[in-house]
Amino acid sequence: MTAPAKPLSILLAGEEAAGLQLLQALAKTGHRIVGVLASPDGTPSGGPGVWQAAQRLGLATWPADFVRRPEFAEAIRAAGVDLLLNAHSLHIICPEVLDAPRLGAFNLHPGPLPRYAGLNAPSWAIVNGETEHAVTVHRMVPRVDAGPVAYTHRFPIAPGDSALNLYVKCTRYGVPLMLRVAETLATDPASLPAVPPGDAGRRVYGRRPPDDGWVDWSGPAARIAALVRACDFGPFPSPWGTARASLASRVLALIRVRTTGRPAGAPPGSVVWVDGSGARVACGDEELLIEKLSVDGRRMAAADRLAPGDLLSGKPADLTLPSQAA
Amino acid sequence: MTSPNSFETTLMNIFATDLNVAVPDPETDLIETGLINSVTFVELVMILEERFQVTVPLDEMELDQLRTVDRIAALVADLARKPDTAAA
Repeated sequence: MTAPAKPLSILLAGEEAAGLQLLQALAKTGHRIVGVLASPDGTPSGGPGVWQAAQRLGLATWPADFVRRPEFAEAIRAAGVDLLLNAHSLHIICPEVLDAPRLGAFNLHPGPLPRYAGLNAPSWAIVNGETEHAVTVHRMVPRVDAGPVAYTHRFPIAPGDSALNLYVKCTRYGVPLMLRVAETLATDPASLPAVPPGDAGRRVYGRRPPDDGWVDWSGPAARIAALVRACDFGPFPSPWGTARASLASRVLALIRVRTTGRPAGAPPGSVVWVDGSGARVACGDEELLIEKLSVDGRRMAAADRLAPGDLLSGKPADLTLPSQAA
Repeated sequence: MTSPNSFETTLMNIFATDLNVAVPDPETDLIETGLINSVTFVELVMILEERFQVTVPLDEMELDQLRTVDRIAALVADLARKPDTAAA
């Protein structure tokens, strides 16, 4: 990679794979990484994270929540920071810190704005049945995900895309947008696009899945299948937990399902057929095939747990949850 | 335990240097043993795409194909042969 004509001094606030990827990519440019704000504990699952990667690169590190402290702004100015880049760090940055870098602060958001502001945008997009998603880089302002948009990259959501797949795609397409912002600001800051996202259609999504992940069997089968995919992080713990149903007060986590196109002829939640491929359950419109589920953290074929005549429900009124983990 | 071939050795070196993960054997289950988590998994996909100029088609494949170094080696070799998954 060729060195930028005017290298910038960049402060990175990063978490998760996008933060790691951006750190690795920035380290290969000629820009100067002043330091990295991250969680010292690494990833939520305990693996190495941005903090550890920054230290391996010999970079200064600060706890991620320093961005909440107005007095940190002075340290940013003293270090001559041109640009603050935020990649999946979820701390709300205080206005004083946002104002401190000479060229401003920019956020990599894994969703199209203004329609998918807030948290877990990829999972929400899957739940909502979207066929297209986007990553967005916008200038940060005190209001969450509301600053002028510099760059957006749109891409399709495949019918079988899981949340994990979509997070990979957001990282794949998002990190180059952040590098592009740095390059544009280094060469011709006035040319950086700044499109106000506006408030039309704006929605700010929260941390938890709809209905806290409980399945509504009276709803469309496709909606339930989408919820399962939106929670699907493959073999890894999902930040959204799992899509859940209950059978006689036992919690069943739905791991893999598929729509069948077969019209439902039984009350919603009824297990109507079980064979080697799984268990077919009546939903509001069609039957849904449950292939894999999990009980108390043990994954199993649906056929090993369900039988014709079982009646699945959503959250039982008297249920006390031992754990949401699949 | 099996001896890694040259491509598997390349991949194991990538794990060691880029992901800070010491893989003892090409057949070690990276997920079952906890050597990779969701963050390092995404990192792995990005690295494979960058280094070997392929696109890993996650929506068309089973994640088991990325579960061990020998399977990753086979997957990357396969993707590199296919023009629609080899990056331009």
